[in-house]
Amino acid sequence: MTGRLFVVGVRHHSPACARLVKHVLERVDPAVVLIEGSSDFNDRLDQLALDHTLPVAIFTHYISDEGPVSCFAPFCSFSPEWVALRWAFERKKLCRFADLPAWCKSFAGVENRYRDEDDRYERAIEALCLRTGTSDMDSLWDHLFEGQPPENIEEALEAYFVEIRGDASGNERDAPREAFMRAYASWALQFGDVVFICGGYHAPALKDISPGGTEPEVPVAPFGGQSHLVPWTYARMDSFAGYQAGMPSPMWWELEWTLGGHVADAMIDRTLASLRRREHPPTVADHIAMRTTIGALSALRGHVTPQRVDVLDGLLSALIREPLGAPPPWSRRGLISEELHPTVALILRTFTGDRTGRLSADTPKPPLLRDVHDILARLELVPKTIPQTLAFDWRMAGDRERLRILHRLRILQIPGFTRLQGPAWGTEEHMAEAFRVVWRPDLDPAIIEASRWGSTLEGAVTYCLSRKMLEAESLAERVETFGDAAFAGLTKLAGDVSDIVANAIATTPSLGALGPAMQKLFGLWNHGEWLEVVGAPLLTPILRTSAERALTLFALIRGVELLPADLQAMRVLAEVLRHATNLGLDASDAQSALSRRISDVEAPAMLRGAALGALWYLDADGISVDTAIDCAMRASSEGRTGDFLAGLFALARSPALRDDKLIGAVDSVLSSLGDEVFLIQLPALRLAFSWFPPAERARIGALLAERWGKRPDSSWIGEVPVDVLQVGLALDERIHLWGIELGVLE
Amino acid sequence: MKKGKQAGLQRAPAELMYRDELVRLEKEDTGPKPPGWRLSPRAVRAFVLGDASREIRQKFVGHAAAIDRAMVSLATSRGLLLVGEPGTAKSWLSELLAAAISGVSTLTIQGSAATSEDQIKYSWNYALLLAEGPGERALVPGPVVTGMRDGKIVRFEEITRCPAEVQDGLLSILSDRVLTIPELGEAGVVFAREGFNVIATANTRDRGVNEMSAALKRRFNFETLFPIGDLASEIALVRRESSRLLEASGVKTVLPEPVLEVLVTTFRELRTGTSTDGQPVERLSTVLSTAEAVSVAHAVGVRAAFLGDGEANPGDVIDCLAGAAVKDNAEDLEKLRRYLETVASKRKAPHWAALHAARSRL
Repeated sequence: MTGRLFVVGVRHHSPACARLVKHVLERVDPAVVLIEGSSDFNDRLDQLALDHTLPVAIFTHYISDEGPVSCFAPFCSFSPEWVALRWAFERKKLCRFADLPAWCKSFAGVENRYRDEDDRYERAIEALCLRTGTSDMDSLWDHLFEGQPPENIEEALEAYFVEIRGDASGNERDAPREAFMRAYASWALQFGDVVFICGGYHAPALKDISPGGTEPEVPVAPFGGQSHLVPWTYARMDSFAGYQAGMPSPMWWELEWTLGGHVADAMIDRTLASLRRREHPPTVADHIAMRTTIGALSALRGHVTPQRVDVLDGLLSALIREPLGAPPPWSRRGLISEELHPTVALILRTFTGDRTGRLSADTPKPPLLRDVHDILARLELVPKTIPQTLAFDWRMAGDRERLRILHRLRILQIPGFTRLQGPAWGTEEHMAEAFRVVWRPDLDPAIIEASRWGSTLEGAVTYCLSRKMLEAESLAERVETFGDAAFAGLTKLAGDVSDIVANAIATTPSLGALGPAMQKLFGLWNHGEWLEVVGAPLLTPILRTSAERALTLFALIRGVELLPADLQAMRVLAEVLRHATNLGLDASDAQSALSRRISDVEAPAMLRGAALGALWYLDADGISVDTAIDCAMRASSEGRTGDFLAGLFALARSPALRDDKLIGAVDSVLSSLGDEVFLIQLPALRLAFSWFPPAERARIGALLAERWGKRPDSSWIGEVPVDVLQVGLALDERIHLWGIELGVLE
Repeated sequence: MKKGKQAGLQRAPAELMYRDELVRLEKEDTGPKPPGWRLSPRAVRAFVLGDASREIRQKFVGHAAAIDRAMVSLATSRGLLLVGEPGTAKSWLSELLAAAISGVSTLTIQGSAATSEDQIKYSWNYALLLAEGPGERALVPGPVVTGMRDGKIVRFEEITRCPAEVQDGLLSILSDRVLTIPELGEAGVVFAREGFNVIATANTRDRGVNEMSAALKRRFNFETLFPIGDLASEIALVRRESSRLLEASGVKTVLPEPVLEVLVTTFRELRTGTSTDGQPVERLSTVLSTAEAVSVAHAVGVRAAFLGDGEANPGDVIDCLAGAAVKDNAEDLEKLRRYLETVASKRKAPHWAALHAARSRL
């Protein structure tokens, strides 16, 4: 007995397609239902028949050449795939996922199996948008298909997918998948009629298939991999919020799925309800304007009932009375990267919905749960019903593994593991930590939920922190996340996150802002023995980029003043550059960037001094004292001797004291200054000489005494008598208070 | 097409420039029209965004949704406020909308610190006022009175540059749609006819809309305009507009494609702070709008035709960039240099190499 093949090309997560799937299934009543999905899950399809609260996802975790990778396939009530599964379960039909598993090469770089592959048919979509007066693929799709009964769209959809696929025969990623799907269809056709639900792009490739063959074998993961069910959220399904997601605004589509044409009213009510919770709720006039605008827009665009973009556009027009920072997110595809107007953000959140899925209690537990419990048992960290306080110290090698596990649980926000105290950074003096550990009833549910990040504790934390790194809004936040990664003992970040973070560092606008970040990361890299992160490959690329960026920023500074934070950053930079080779930096490039600025007249004198100091710091014999004297002379001709020396001595002191040449030159410059000029330069000079510790000041004193033919006197080489010091301090204090009174000091 | 009224004009208003299209659209228009509108919103959209199948030229590059929102604002009870950076074609869009909806785009108030209420509403012919006393004959209607009486769109350019009390003169006009001229007694109550509305524009770089009173803000729907989102459309626009300007300057040739590409790409990258391959670029503080790109393209063409060898080359872009875009900002100049050294230098195509080679001209 052989059957006919009915291919239903769909857009994932589209209610219109879900209705069409149901319509075709009822009409054809096939013997077999095939669904685009990971075939490695076929032996556990019965798990999908359990009583879950949607959305849920099949989460696949596997090891690739480049480390652990994950891929998911989300289902919600209006997913065409979900509707097909439920139909097959209810009627006890043969049902299979008929696509390659995520570990096959075709899925390299794919995070979401059910994402929109809009980048592949941009041109076709653009042309269609132009013809229909819509802005992007989402509004085009809504305009053409959503809200229409299945019998109206069946043929149109087929034509649409043929058009967007064009003459393309698919690429090298599609070919193996489509061959696998065809083999599945051949096998299934031997049992009777087959309905095949697949992404519309593949539908045209599944024609003319004759029955025969055995059920295709699922390729095994070369380095190990498995799939399991996890609870999912609408936020991760929304293409505005989630990378590689499907249709935007899942809550809108859920309402459309249940209410049909009344969705707009329901959504307006929800939006109003959330707007009313704010400080300035919309007025009645706003409400009227909102409804009028939405109605008018929908009529203008020829929609029978208002569509998603009509409602969004109407809300925007009627409610927001300020300029926007960027075009509204629904006028283009993709993640929102900019800061949104608060009202726009609130509206979009309402359209996303806060639905969070829950797995049926009968679902087999995901591997992460077992992994966590095994680790806790092995390390004797199993939480008890009575709270315990556990104290460990990073300096004890035997404590470190436990601390890493506790930090990993903390990062995944597993309840019952609270950090009471501990160092804020991995290079602090006190490295003792205390955790409060207690069993909580939501422990296992939380771990199951966390399994969306991965199926092992290490994999989950890697992925979770990588996301955090991507979502971080500031450099400081990213640095903190690196600190967490060091506490958790991570050795790498997921995918290309390192590159993305490095790119973000490359946009840091000021040297002074980069300094503290570089200092913290370099601290870990150079001195993080307790956390075992010295020279860690996790930090190396970030430090390299930071140093490169710092050099660029240093090269762009001009003017007369250098900010203290910039000078501080220069000190860190010089220290980092000492390790240039280990960081993969070109040392000679760095040195020439520094030396270019030594004589740059547009650079502040302090920066010139610091550049010279950095070069001395890197190679004490690289620059002659005569060069330094020339530079000091130029600075003195600008009346900036103090600035120059402050920059120089902040970075390098000993080459300056090798003989009396530089000190002598400075001495003669200073002796020639008039009183008034000297007073102006005094603060900067004080800063310059404050870098020297007392012993070196004594050495300066000795050098000067020799020049002047005098005996060094302890009172002018730094060893000031206590009573003189006290008088001086009291004077400082008075001047300070005076300054505050006059409003010139803070 | 350039006959009749347009002859000899430096720049004709949109309703004259595109008269043929407007006449055709009106004749073929079958869509429902809001009261007082000459065209249906769908025809207005076709007029503004173009419709190749009906040989209607594209006049504005932007999202259809933004035009929809703007038209719906005008058809309902609120005014339309177009906001955006300089050079995002706010005035041009307002002119196009007024021309398409009312058939006239010249009921315009130019906002400035010196704008007074009588320039907006009405003033008097003082000779007649003294001779005959207040009456219709002595009244000199301003754009708002004319717009209200005739049911036309009134344009208010740079509204935020006017003193707040002058701006607030629009309050009752926008909410009650009525204006009283007390001197005329009972006859002095002007009710707005169907079709009357206000399109105001405001610049986000100058004095912001924050200085507008909350009451007035409530009477406007805001529509923010943005620089053109995609490179190909921006190049097309610069090509079209610069060719038009060059023709007007008596230059027969158009800019070569590579020069246009170099020019527009440079503008976009320095404006957005990211190169096309994702590399961060130091953003210039000067406004690098598409309008600036058009004027630089115009300058490059004129220069090549009258001062050079006739054919513009990418190096010419540098000279005009320095003058027209970077102006006298030393820091921007340095950033432009760094851009040429770090971004342009990595591109191997000959026109980019030519641009890079010309960096010493800065």
